[in-house]
Amino acid sequence: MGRKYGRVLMVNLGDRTSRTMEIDPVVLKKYIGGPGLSAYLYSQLVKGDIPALDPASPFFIMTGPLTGTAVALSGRHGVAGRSPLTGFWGEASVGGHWGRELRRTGYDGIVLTGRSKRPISLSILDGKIEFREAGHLWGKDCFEVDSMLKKDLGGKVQVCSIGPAGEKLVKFAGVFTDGPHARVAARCGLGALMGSKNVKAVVVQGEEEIPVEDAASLRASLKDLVQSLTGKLKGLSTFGTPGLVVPCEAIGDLPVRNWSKGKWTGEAAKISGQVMNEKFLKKQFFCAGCPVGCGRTVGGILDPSLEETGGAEYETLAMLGSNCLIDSLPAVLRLNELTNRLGIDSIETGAMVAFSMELFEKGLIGPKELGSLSLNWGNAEGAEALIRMIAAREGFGDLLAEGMMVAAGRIGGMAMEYAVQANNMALPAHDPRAYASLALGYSTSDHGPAHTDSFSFWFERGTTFPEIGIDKVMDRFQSEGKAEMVVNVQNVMNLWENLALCKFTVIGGVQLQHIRSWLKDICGWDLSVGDLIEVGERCFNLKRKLSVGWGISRKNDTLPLRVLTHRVSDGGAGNHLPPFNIMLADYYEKRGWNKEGIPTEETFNRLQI
Amino acid sequence: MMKIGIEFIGFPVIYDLFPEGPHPFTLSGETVAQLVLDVISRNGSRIQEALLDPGTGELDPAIQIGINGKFISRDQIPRQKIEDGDKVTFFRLLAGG
Repeated sequence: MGRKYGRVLMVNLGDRTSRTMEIDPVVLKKYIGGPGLSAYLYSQLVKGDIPALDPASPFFIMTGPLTGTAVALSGRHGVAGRSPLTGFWGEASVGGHWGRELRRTGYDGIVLTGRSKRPISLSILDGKIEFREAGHLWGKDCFEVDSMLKKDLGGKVQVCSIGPAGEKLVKFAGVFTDGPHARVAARCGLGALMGSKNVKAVVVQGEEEIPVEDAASLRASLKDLVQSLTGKLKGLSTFGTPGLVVPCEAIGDLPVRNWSKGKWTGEAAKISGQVMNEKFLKKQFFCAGCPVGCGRTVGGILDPSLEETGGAEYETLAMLGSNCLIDSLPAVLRLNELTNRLGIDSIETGAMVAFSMELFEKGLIGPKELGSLSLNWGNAEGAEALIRMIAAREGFGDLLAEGMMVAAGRIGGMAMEYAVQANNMALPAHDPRAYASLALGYSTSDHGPAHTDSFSFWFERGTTFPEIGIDKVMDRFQSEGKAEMVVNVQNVMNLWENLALCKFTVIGGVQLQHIRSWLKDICGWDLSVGDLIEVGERCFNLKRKLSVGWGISRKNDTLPLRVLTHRVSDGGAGNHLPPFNIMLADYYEKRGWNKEGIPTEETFNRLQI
Repeated sequence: MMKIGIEFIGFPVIYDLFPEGPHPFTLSGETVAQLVLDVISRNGSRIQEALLDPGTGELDPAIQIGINGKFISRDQIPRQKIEDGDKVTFFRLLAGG
């Protein structure tokens, strides 16, 4: 029997020391791993209101107990900490191959504290931990860093890095892995947190066995599941998430022209997953241990000599495509490649470009801010120039790099009307006017408006989750029952994040009984389905508690005016607006929070927080 | 009557009824619209809930239809003719990232 799950590397960047911490199994059963465990460790490590980019603000990279095991779609990890973008709790997760490789080093997570005086990369190679000078990597893009480190340290290493945007503390920089294939923990600006520590990259490689207590039982439980799981996810295998562009447009879910239009049918078809398959797809990209392969691999467009790079996901096609009225697929793929190289969240970046295009149209910005740059709708070259300005913090880009709410506040006038954001973080590319539950999901999410927080819209179209009471697909426009549904799926998706398990498994038919069985086989834990739901609820509330300490309350649980009051009647959502206030009051009650959105003492006590 | 193949991609709630296809199907008419009616009438309410928009009672606009691997536009769907031996795919994606 080898090691047990729960070994975390604690790194002090200030004095370049590290130590190993074995997490108490009692704690692990309460928080599991991923962002839940990160939030728990944050609550233990940090006292007081420490700004996100303060050296004392820790940065977490965590896997979960399933990561890298035989469980399908388990090759993920997450990053977490206080968000530089919102000032509240932040987290983002990602697939690829880095998480599994970290576990092979013998560690399940890394906590970076302090700040290095000079740029470094941290490496954990065959059990040896080293702080390497990284001055020569500073300024390099994510693809270059991956290539340079692999050249130095061997092709088997896995690299997680920031790009130039993270170095410049752009508030929506991401954390990237898998080199040119560009898998990204994109949201909440955690690349800026990593950059603030002067850490350019974390490189891992190892040969240690990933701990599994009963491998035979685990294999047996997976035997029948994998075939139906891959069958149910065949659509993702075929077209990847880009396959969503056309159907999302049809039902009014696709953001068009900075969320002001509903219909864009012919143009959506031009940037669809089908066209990507026909004209650009080289092959599927598979994360570690994944039989589905929803990732897309295309050839380089920004750099045509690049044989393979990650194709744009649905979110990118929507935010940098339809939302900016850019209907050329190669143009969007080029912008996608650019954001991946620069190390910047393509959701936030697309939102920022669309916001700027509207400001330009309305005359709120012009030559004074942009010089000769033109930001007409659909101008991909203008978008590219603006993105480069943001990543380099040049001119007007420096203001945009602070986030949309901050930028709108400084621009003044009607700018805030055009800023489709909440707490300085842009809405992702699913529309609360098309799915009422998203209004609640975005406004109450534990890490800003992120569709991945609950994926609640799945249960308003096409899938169910009987173990948490969702026996039937719900009507997408109705408010009734949505508060309870969102609470339940937020809890369950929190659990999924802590496990570092791909949430597409939910569509593939994975239920809590499977998780229960796998945790028994892998960790020897005997947790009930009720225990697992409570883990999710506990972690959600712990993160809320941290954010309450940083000032979050009812006033922050809101949505931008555009999606609350502006109808997109020409599209598939018709005249619907989300019945927000009715649902929010119900949601607070179901959560055990008071009318100001603060969890009650009774709630904390019940959840042992 | 014509014999065709049908498959459903991206419908987890009816995967037990229609696992990976195609499945042989005898169509009573010659259009996609008739196919939808036939599939529903022979398989009951679960199929109806999976295929129809609850608000309009029409085919869910998020569902795309492919015939022999080629998607047809939404405008074409009601009148699109099917021929003997065709493979008709009902395709719907739920997830986006």
